[in-house]
Amino acid sequence: MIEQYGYAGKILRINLSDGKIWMEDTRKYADNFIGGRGAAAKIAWEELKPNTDPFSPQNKLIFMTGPLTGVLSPGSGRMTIAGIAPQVYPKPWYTRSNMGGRFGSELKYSGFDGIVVEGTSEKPVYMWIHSERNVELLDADELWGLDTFTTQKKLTKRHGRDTSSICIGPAGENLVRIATIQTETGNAAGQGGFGAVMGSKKLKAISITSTRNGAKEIGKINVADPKRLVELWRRCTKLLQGGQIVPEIPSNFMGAEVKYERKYHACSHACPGLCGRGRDYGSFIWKDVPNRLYHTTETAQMMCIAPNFVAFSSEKEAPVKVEYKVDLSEALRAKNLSDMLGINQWDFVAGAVLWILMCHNMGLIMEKDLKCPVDPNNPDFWVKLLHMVAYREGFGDILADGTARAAERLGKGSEYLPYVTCGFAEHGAGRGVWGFFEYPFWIVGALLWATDSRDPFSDTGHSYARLIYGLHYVLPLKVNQIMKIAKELWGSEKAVTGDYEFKAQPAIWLQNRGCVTSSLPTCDWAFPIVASNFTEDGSGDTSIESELYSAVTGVDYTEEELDRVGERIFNLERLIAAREGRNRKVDENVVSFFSKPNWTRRITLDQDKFRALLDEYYELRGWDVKTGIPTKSKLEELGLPVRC
Amino acid sequence: MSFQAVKKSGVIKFFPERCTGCGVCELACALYHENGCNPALSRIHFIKDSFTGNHIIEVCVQCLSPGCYYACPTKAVEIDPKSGARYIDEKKCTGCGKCVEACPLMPEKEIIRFKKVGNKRVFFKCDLCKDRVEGPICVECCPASALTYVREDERR
Repeated sequence: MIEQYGYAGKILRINLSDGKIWMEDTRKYADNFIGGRGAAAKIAWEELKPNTDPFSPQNKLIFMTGPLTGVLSPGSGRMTIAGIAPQVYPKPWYTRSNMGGRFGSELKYSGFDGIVVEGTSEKPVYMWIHSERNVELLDADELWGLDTFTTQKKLTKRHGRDTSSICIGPAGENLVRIATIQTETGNAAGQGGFGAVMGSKKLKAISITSTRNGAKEIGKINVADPKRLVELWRRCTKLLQGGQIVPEIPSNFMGAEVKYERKYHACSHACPGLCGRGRDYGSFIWKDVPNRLYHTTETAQMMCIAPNFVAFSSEKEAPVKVEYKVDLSEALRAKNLSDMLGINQWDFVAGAVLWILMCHNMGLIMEKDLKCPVDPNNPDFWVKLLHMVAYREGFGDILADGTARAAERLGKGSEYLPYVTCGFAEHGAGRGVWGFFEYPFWIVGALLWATDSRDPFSDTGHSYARLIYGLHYVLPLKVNQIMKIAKELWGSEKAVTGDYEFKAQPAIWLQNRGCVTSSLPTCDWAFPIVASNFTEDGSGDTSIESELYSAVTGVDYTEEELDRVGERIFNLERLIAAREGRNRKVDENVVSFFSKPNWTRRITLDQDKFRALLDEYYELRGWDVKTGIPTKSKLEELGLPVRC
Repeated sequence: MSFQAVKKSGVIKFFPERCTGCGVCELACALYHENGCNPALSRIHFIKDSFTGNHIIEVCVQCLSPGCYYACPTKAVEIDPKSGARYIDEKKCTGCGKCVEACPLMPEKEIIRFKKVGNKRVFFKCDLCKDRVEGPICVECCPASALTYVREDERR
């Protein structure tokens, strides 16, 4: 056997309808598409028919890791989850989500690069993978209805301390379209509502007990150049946090004094970057929070959208002012509850709650509709609302289908929906929780939103915002540093200044890189490293992904070659979308959202200039300008199937 | 049978309050010793508890009076003259398991594990990366300084 580097070698296939289990060679999907998001797209292209109902047995739930999963590479626990997504509005289509934690790594240690689940079980089951590719479907009657924390704890108790699980909570079981798949305390695949797909398949959990037995024959992830990988690890740690540090924890959080202990928490396996260090957020384990569910510990990771459970104040030019502040320990409880119930926090906080509060302030949604006081400063409001959504009680039943559908069903409030397009809440669009995102940055946001199949900002656009504002592990850079980096990356300073000029170039680069990031996979909060506070000129190092890939697999790729693979993956996803009816007209659906004034300076989208920018984008992409579909020559050039 | 005193050893010390639960120690260890990653091949054992943040590290404490060293019938457990590390010479190990029986921390903690070399079963344990100039790789790769290396002369 030829020794293979970076891959476990097999993909696990399972049909829940008849319990059939079989295996396939990873190479069939990973060749030319790396793994993760790329390999998932290949499977979807070959096997997922357009117009498939997300809750039907025909929908497939694809879990895919990549060559960097489970090795000494930053954030290597990540994994992509893909399929037809019930959250997408108005008609569900194929998209992807991804999650951190340790499960992806454990999957590879058990001998699999991925799992494809199809069919539907009649009764609740869970999958247990153990000792060298042994797979069992077990009865989950006892677990059905339980929250995600208890489910995982029960599974760990049953199968041993080296067990890692992903599971759904009550929200997924009740087919809530914003239900997540959860692992550990705060790791979730939130985009698309794949928790509900698992719920529809009656698959409560997947557990892995990968044996800690050194004599086992499979599951060792071979690395082609270990020395180089260690060297790269050191370089990444340096760029992300200035090298090895003793973590210091800030004394306040969201302006509130913290009375209980915290410790940093790496949200993904092998993460060297302590995100949010020195800022108002970060991934923490909270200790000795009084009166909490788990006695002495609040397990919340307060990062990303989670601090919005604590406080929010909309920008001055927002159409309706929304402002609230919740007691910190109570906010932690609400955040924890959403993880336990398995609800997408982004969509709940940045979508549903923001929309309800705006509508309430305008007199469109009243207390009698919700059957509870609408008071965001009161933690009970949050807890009640989360329960209502997860168990589809009262008004929660309407919200559970996604807020875009809720507005349609109520027949009012759609003008205040913080939803950009296709049923995903605002992110990087300058109107909503990212209202601070100024003109012209949201022009790039508009392009990303126009051409993606989900919220592009949580796996594609972060690095753009990170360069401009300083996010995650980067503190703000100087303006001249930002312009210099932008010029080097995208060919002109105008990518971060001016108006509609030079906005397609960063968008395309980000999308190709986004594909690479979630195919390898690495963490989008860290990669591509466009900026760093630990270099003299603030520049990062965007070549690290290609070096990591080369060191692990032994296949030498330059940065450009890897970007090319990213382009191939993005085009394949576009082909899947086109098969589902995606075209330029659908892309232009974003125009109505961006034509509303943004929340900082009331600037609206110039529709003619944006349409011209779309022309430029399609041309640079090698897509037909009229239809927005990849041209034959582009597909041939990328080695992709040419559509009939 | 008389027990001859052996050279004192350095040791890896764990600061649980700093540990972020990333598990890099295991990955780096397996990568350095086995050219690949899998916790089963790591000489340092990390158990993550996301629900409390009380992560556990299990690694050889390099006993002052090493039971494994005295118990080995083939003298496969050796003392590194530089660091004092008690390590297992794979070539001499016959896989009899006497070291495991003698270890005061096992079987509760996984200090000594076995693997396959060709068709032979051999045991392996932490050797403090004795041949590495920079010292133990887990200590060097830990991003949060949760592991430190205490040299034998600094050890109390």
